[in-house]
Amino acid sequence: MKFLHLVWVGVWRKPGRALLTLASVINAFLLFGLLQGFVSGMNGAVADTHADVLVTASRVSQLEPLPISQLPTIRATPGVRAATPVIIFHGAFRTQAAVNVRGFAVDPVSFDATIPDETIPAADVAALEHTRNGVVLPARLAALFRLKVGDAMPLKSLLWVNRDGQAWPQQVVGVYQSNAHDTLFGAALLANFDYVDQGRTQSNGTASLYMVRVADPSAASQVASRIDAQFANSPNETKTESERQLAADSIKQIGDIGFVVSAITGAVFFALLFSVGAMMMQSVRERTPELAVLKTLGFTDSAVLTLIVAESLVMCLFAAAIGLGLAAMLFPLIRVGIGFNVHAAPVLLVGLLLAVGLALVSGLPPAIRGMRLSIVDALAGR
Amino acid sequence: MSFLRQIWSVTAMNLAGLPSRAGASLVTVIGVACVVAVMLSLLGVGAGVRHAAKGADRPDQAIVLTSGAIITMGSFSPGDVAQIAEAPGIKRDAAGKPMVQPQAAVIVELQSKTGGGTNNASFVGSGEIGHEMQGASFHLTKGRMYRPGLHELIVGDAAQRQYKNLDVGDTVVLRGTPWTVVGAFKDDGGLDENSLVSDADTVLAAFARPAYQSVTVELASPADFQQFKDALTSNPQLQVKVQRLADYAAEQLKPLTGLLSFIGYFVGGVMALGVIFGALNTMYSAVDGRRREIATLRALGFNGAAVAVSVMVESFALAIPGALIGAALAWLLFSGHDIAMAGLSFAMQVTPGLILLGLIWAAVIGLIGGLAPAIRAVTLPVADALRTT
Repeated sequence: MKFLHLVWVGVWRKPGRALLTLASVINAFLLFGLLQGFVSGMNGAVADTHADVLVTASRVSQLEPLPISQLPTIRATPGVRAATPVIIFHGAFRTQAAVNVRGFAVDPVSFDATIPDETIPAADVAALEHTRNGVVLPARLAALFRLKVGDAMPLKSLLWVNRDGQAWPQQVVGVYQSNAHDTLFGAALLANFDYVDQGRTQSNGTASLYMVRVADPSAASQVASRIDAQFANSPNETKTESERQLAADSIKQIGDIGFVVSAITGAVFFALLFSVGAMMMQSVRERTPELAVLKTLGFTDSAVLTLIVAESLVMCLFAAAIGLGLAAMLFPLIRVGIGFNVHAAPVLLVGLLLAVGLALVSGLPPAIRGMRLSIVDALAGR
Repeated sequence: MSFLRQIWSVTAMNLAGLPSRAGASLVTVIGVACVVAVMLSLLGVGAGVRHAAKGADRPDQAIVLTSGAIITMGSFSPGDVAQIAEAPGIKRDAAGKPMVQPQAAVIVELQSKTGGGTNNASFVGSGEIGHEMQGASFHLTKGRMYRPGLHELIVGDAAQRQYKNLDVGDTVVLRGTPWTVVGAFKDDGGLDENSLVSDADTVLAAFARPAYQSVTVELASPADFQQFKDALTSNPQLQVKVQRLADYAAEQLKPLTGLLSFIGYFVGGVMALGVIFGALNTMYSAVDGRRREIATLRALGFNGAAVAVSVMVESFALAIPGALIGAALAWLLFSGHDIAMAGLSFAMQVTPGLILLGLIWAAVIGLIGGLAPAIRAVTLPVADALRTT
């Protein structure tokens, strides 16, 4: 510990160069933190789904409607605690297509009974029940469009044409705090099932999917196959999956993001390794006489080795901490922008481990060179 | 000695000394190569999507959609189609029939070849006129065309690569109905190749859909678009919106291509910033290592600007080969590489335009990384620099 000052002075021996090297390491760890934060948020979104919620959709595809007559059968299936019909409504507000609002039309009463946590306050659900054309918004959307309770919100649905005209004349009846742990409904707009179903020009009397809550989460997969078995060989075969499976599938459909992120991170650190390594090598080469003096004073070979590796460690950890810190400050942006909740701790831990690895790999060759230095040659300038 | 000759001789001497600084110089080359390789690979995905969508770029074709919804599950009855066919500006084929193709599209789940899960694919209902409108680029590579009224379909090349059970002769069950795969087609690498295709009326009947989803028409000339559009939008019996096919395709893909470009430029930008710091380091130490040499040159009467230019040239000489290596890596590893993303499969494209962009990116890195060290080389006090050991 008493040599910490010596190490610190060594890092800053050439301030300009140290600053530039620090900046490139900070930069790399900032990028690492952001990309890895995104991936962790994505995986977290899957892990955060409810264990006891199943989604029943058409076996043909998720957009194929199912007749509402299936609802009583699903409710009567052994092991089912509650079930509610949902219409996928996704729409556009004030724009043609560029900004799509995730939205669902739900039956307020049975929805409240089926969705386990307090994602949407009971009061908002009650308000939805009393206003046919009401919508409940997540706070983020309300802020984005500057909407408050009582405002009109004409919506165009991605899928459904309103019989009366073009846009659906919705009205805001509630605003709720978005729940980052509820991927399906945590940040979506909710409308009234009956209003949308009766008002649309086609597919009346159908649901896009059913949300099913099971009594015992450990029996979820048996309940799922029991539901599907009842509709096997009917014109409307169903496919029931856990919310978790569905979330994992929809992320898989985007592409192999994990691979892309690892490839980018790999390239960044490959370049950085050379950058830091060359800088350390040069620094040691310039200080050859100083290192010889240290050895003359009685520093052992291994002490010199440790000193140089410590220098590399201090620099990399210092810069990595700044870079990861900056990334952590931006994590809330990922949450607001994409809706993922970043689990910061593992990302930061892996980042720091990576910094240690970087320091060792880039610091060892110059350190070994310093260790092998012969005092006589070094002092003679050979 | 003329200024140009001064630049030439200082630069030549400079570059001749590069091998002695190989270690530090390699840092810039590797750094720039990494940035360019990553950025071109990311942008190559977007370029692939755009290339695949180009198939729809036919200026004389228009698409009629229901207004009021963005994706519709189908709302054109045969009567509506007949009304659309009467609108002015539509081209007639050799037999005198208006070139109007009502289309159906349903989403079906197919077994993915990788990972064992299922993915959404589109099953398109078209017809004879529709295929005629697709032009010469559309052709069967295997088997034959489907026959209307029978549960027969043809599959695109990209769909065949992505999903199981789609070889010619296979039977695939869609919504409880077995369909026979009778042919495979290619359409110049376009996004259509991701779908299954059959007869529109057969698809509607099989999926219990009451109406067509969209209507595609071929116009007599691209200039007839406005006339055709006005006739339909002013018809009180129809609630439609009319778009050129190219505009429609661009609008559908805009969110995807926009996101891909953003990611490419963001990552490329942040990485470039890091490499600029590294390049500055390299060039500063190059200048520092040659303090006495530079001071000697200036004492001999060499122009400061010539020295500065030589430093800049060295910076570019490291960045540009780096960019070429990076572009070559991206091209070798990924050009033509098949990507499956958002339910579409297409080939990545590292285009000449992208390679040029990579070179520009590298030039900017070289410029910024060389400028400040060049200024230091010029402003070095000659007497001090000569005296230092």
